[in-house]
Amino acid sequence: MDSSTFEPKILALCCRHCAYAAADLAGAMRIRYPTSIRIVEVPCTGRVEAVELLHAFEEGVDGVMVAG
Amino acid sequence: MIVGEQKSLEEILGLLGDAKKVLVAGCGTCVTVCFAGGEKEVGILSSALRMKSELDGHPIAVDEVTVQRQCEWEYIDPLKERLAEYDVVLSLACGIGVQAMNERFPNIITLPGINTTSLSLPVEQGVWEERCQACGDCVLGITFGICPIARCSKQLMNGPCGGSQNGVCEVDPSIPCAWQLIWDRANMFGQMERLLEVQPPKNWGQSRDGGPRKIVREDLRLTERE
Amino acid sequence: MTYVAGLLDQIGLGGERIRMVNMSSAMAVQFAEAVKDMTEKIRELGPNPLCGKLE
Ligand code: SF4
Ligand code: SF4
Repeated sequence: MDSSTFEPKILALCCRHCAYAAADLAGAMRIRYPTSIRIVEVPCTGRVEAVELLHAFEEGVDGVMVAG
Repeated sequence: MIVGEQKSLEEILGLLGDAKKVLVAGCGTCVTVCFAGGEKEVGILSSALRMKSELDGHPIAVDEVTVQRQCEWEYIDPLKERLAEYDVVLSLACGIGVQAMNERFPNIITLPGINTTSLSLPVEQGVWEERCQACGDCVLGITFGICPIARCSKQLMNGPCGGSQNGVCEVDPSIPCAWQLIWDRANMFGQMERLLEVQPPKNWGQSRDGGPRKIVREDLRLTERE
Repeated sequence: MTYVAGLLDQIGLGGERIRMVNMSSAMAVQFAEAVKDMTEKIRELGPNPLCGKLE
């Protein structure tokens, strides 16, 4: 796959109170951002376990963003 | 508690050789609380092994299990049924757990995934310091509760040595001099004269120097043996 | 985070594939920026070499 056509799949683990709310707001404000992102809401980024990050890569995501 | 540290991914893959199906076995006691070989670490290592072996071109199928205590027959016996389907077991328990597995299940090799390092105290989150070497003849009663065997670099019974400077051991500035600590505590209790008594050489026969040690408590045994 | 990034390096996936960002709920613009930034980075790194290999 050459890099110009490659659409990455990125998992975003977003804290309910911070980044998820920010993403919500971005939507409300009609701010454009890449469609590469798959957002999963977590109660707090402290809840995210190392093994879950690894499992994401095992499942084939190209990157993980933990946002809180 | 017994404290260990996980081996590197490289070393573990080297140990696994050309195994195709591996069971990673954790232990729910000491190595869980020192974050070396509990259920979490089993999950992380297994995932890492699956990915790395795949990338290296020799994919290994890795399953996970964690028992409450790998150093007791009762807890490992239920694994028996499962073992036939694996080429090898990778244990994240301490050296006792690894050997228990090898003794109980002689037909399958159990490999060590961690280095068992010491009997240590978690002095703060993420820091373990050695406190005991299981010498078999505890002297804490005459050293004001500070172990010169585990904590003095030279295992002196009459200290400190000439290398003790400003409370620090000459071997490494990060090591507090155990004998300074002992004298300080004696001073605190106003009993420094007790340390003036010269201690005779320690009987290391009760330590490792007397060969492997064994405790037999006839009153606890269920089987009679002559 | 640093631990997992180190692990990803050891595995051979690359620690740069994982990133932690901090923001408040009012930082919609920053969120969009972070997503853009991350997407660029991953595009640079190319696809996850494991993709489709593991069932
Ligand atoms: S004197 Fe021996 S048994 Fe006592 S703490 Fe030190 S090493 Fe352990
Ligand atoms: S400086 Fe203290 S701890 Fe170090 S070897 Fe001498 S007596 Fe032991």
